[in-house]
Amino acid sequence: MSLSNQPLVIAGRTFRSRLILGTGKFSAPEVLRDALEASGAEMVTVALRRADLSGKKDPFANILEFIDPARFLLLPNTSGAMNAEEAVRLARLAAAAGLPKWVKLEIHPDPRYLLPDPVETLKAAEILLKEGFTVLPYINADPVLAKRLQDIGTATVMPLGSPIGSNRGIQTRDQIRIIIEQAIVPVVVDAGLGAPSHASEAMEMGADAVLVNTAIAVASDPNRMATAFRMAVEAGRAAFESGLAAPQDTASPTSPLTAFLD
Amino acid sequence: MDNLTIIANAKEVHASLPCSLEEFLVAQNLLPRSVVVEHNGEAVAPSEFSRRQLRTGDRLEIVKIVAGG
Repeated sequence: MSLSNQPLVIAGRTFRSRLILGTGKFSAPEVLRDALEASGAEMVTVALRRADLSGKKDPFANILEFIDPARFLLLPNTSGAMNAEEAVRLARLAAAAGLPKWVKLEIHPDPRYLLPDPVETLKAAEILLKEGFTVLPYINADPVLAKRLQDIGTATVMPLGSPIGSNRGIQTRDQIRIIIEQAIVPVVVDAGLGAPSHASEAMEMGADAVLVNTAIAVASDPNRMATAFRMAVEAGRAAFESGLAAPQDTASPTSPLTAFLD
Repeated sequence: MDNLTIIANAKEVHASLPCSLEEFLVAQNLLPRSVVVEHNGEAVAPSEFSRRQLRTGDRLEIVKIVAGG
């Protein structure tokens, strides 16, 4: 059964799925492939790293053999970049490799909390937009920064719910609400979503999509967890589009209040 | 045969002259189609690998597409 949700449009490209998947931390490439299938996702992130020149075997050596580029839009990220200059280099390398000229811009130099650097992110976004990239910036849930980015032409804004891989859910609720209210581009809640209910909550708030990685990759059954997230995202979106009932301070009867025998 | 020294991923690597970027990658047991290369700071498309000649002291960043969020 379909909930007939509206499609998601990012930079003129239409997606039926509002769940974007990260490909990190899976136990094996086959597990990743099956979870991608179950998730219904149409956009997946990949990263770039220095090649190992020691000649060691790596089971993920050719990850692209497990992701059909005809079915999934590959979104290279700039993780590992410590500043704008490194992020721009990574994006150019991904484009040179033949990946789409789309980039998940993420610059988080501090390894403890992996919080994105707003100054470097804005700087890199300006350069990449001039070079014709479609830029999806990962940011803290800062409404002012989100506005600056959408004003210079980024394709989305991607505020975090809580730190990457923390599974703490949406700790930035009030700021994300403001970002959604002022958005002129899709809002993708990225990072920290540890349970399907967290993804549902983001969608019910009116986020346009969510990006999930750790919660699915480290589940004991990633395939079923991917299905659970798919359903949660669809349910949350349908609820948002259907008009949620407003919370009230007092009860409001759902049955007639006249006495039974009157 | 003349030798040249390349700085590949911040390490000195020796190769024989003349050497194209493609020949260098094959000598490092890397499939040229599985990597992306920055040559002296400039991103190089895989279609250019066989035409790009290396000179001693050149800097290469050899990068792979890997899993990631």
